[in-house]
Amino acid sequence: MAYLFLIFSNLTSYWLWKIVLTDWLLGLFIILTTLLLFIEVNDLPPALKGGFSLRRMTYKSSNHPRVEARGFLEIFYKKEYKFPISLSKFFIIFILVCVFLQTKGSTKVSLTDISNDDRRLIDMRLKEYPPIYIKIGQKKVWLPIAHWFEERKESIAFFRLSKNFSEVIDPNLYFFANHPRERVGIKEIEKFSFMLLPVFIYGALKISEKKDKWLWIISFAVPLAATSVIGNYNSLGPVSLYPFFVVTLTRGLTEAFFKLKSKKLSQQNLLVSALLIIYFLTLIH
Amino acid sequence: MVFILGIFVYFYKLDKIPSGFYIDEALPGYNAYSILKTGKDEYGKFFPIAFRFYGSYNPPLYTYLTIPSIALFGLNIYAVRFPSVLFGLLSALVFYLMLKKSELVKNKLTLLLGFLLFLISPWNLLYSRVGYEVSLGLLLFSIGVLGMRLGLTKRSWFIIGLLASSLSTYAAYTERFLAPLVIAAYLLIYRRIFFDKSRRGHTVSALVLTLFTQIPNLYLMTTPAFFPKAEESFISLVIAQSVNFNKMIPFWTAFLVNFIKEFISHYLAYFSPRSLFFLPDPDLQRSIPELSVLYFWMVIPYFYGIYWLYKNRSRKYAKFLTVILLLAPIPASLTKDPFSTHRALPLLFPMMLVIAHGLDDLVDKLSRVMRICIITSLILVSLLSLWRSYFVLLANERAVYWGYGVESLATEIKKNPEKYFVIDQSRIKPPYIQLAFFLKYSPQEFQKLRPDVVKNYYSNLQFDNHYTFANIETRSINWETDIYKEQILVGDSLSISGNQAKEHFLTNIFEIKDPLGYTVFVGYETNPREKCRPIKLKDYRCNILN
Repeated sequence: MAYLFLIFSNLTSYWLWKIVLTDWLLGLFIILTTLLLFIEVNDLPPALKGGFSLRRMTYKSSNHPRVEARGFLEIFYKKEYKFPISLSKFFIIFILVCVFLQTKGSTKVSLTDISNDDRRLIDMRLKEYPPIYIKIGQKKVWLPIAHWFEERKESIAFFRLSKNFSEVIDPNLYFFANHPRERVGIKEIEKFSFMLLPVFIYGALKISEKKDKWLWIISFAVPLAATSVIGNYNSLGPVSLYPFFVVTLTRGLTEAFFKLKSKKLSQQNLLVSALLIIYFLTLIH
Repeated sequence: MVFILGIFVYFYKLDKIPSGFYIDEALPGYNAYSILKTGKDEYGKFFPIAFRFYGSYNPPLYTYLTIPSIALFGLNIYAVRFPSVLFGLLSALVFYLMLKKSELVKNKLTLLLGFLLFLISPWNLLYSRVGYEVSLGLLLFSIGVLGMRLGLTKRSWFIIGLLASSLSTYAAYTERFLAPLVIAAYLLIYRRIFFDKSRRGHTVSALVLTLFTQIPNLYLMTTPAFFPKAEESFISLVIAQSVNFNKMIPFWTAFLVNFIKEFISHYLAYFSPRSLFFLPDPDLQRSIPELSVLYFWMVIPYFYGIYWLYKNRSRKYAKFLTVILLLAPIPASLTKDPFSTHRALPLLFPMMLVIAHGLDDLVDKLSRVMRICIITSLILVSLLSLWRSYFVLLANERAVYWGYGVESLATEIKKNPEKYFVIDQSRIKPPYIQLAFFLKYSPQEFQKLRPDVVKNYYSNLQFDNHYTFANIETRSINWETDIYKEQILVGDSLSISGNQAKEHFLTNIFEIKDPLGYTVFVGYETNPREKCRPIKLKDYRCNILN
């Protein structure tokens, strides 16, 4: 069932369609990375173990304990084959490739170069600061605070990094094409249906309960750090974050499904029907 | 020590920064002065339950609480801002109490740190250092929340909580809609405690008392004055969007989907780290340059705090905090503005609590030396950012948005009592009330300007911004007629160009500049004789000169 939810999350993502239709190679890497993270992160609830999964089909085909635990990739290998590299390392390589491909497709904006308009603003601001000094004995030591804040490369780089960081960390970017605070001069794309937002939050909270969640954190932190440096000027958006979002969504969907299973049938039907109707209405929309 | 630092930051150059005096400050200021002198507001209404102002019908409490300050300090900027500063400082004290009473804070240091961070948070500081009613709204809302929290065990606090929440509806718009939501959610969640046999009678009595305090609001609900800002909601936008989809899906279905989507997108923006820690309010008049409502580094304790809430979700306190956090941005999310910091100010209280708990958990993981180093650095970085953005950049760059120059204009008008001034307001907010404020114009005389308003005070939404009082007229310049009368035309640099001045023989008599050196007001004296002489027209406009 979890795999079905994974397929659902992928197929209903406007983002993936846009990525695949624009750059199929990038799309392929993104899908593979998502799959790897999914296997790593997803501790399937007990009830799921009896369900359909490729893991059951391939369970006994490897001797490598880590791969056995995760299972899925073994389908590609023969019996007795010792997996040479752990799945998590594989994932890190894949996510780095995704970051690289994202960088290639992005318009690079320097962290320190300043345009004419920036220069005008800096010059104006330099005049706004009061003169500041400290007295050491009889001697006045003037502090160039205005220069430190406005003109130093380190300050400019810091402000740009935080601007880039803030753009990528904004949930509205992924669920509402940055509405209501769209960026000026950039065509924003909607990435996931807003109906999936509660599921995403639920999934994130559920995964955060896990003890072994470092790979999930990496899937967020590495692309976030990279995009903060390169900037979010890519027509496809910060694609390297796609696996993180889809895996979290899938986890949320899976958990929500099993929560719903314990409810009365009428309640289940009512909730699922309402959600599906609204979901498809938003798709039409 | 922390409180003394707070007092210094809050009172430092209070009447100078923000530079200028905005119309929304002048309105309660002048109306408080008018009430003090005559017992009536600018329209002659005796102690109104909502102040009409310019058709906005603001909740009245802040204006009434400004009266003692004006009586004490006189009619000046400091007197109008003083109560707001006081409320901001008191809100921080309530925050400290709430944090302490949570009994979930592991380090004493976090209590003080939370208190300091609330005090120096740009969100609280910005709205406490201006004469806006929202700071009072936040204080009463915070007392209400604290009272409700403590009211779970102590009955007296329960009544205090309900009464403070009820009073907050007379302080600011947001609380008018938020307070009932919070009270309803609170009673629903803890219904087993409050409607238990032993407490039922007490609960009902407290609710009846609260309802009693709402009589003025209940009366106001029967008039258009209760909801004068309906056009600020995004409903009209959603209707327009839904009409476009009418051919594909039924209107009401499209409306429902569009409404949910619009609402959630706005609502989510109030929890977005980008809006909270990095981007300022899009409204330049209500934001600090290069600084968001909270400091950038708080994004880490924010996430940690949310995780802390989730971990402790079974505790009464965490459940209560979650409810307040989730309810606080609802009224603001129903408006068109993407991130309206003044409407969402009540969110600051639960948001800072979440951040403080997150910080507490993080601090707990650090060694003593690391703790001191990191906390000192973060406080220094925060104070430096605040100094740069608020005391340097805002003071200079935002002066024009804060009505800078009206005070100097009033001085020019005072200097020339025999001359007549026409003030162009085509591109600025109506300056009539700021001028009345700075000229200390007699409230008795001012009340005579709109004698009809008082007859249907609470249903008179239409505001006429054309004012004529003393030697002033506020309206747009009429180039057809104004140049043929002896008067002084006042406008900004776009109202009267150099070429126009030359063409119509206007003489520049004063120019008022903002701290950056840009012209905010320029005054030109007309010369109708010179204007009529060269064209030698027997124009009816020139005839009046003979």
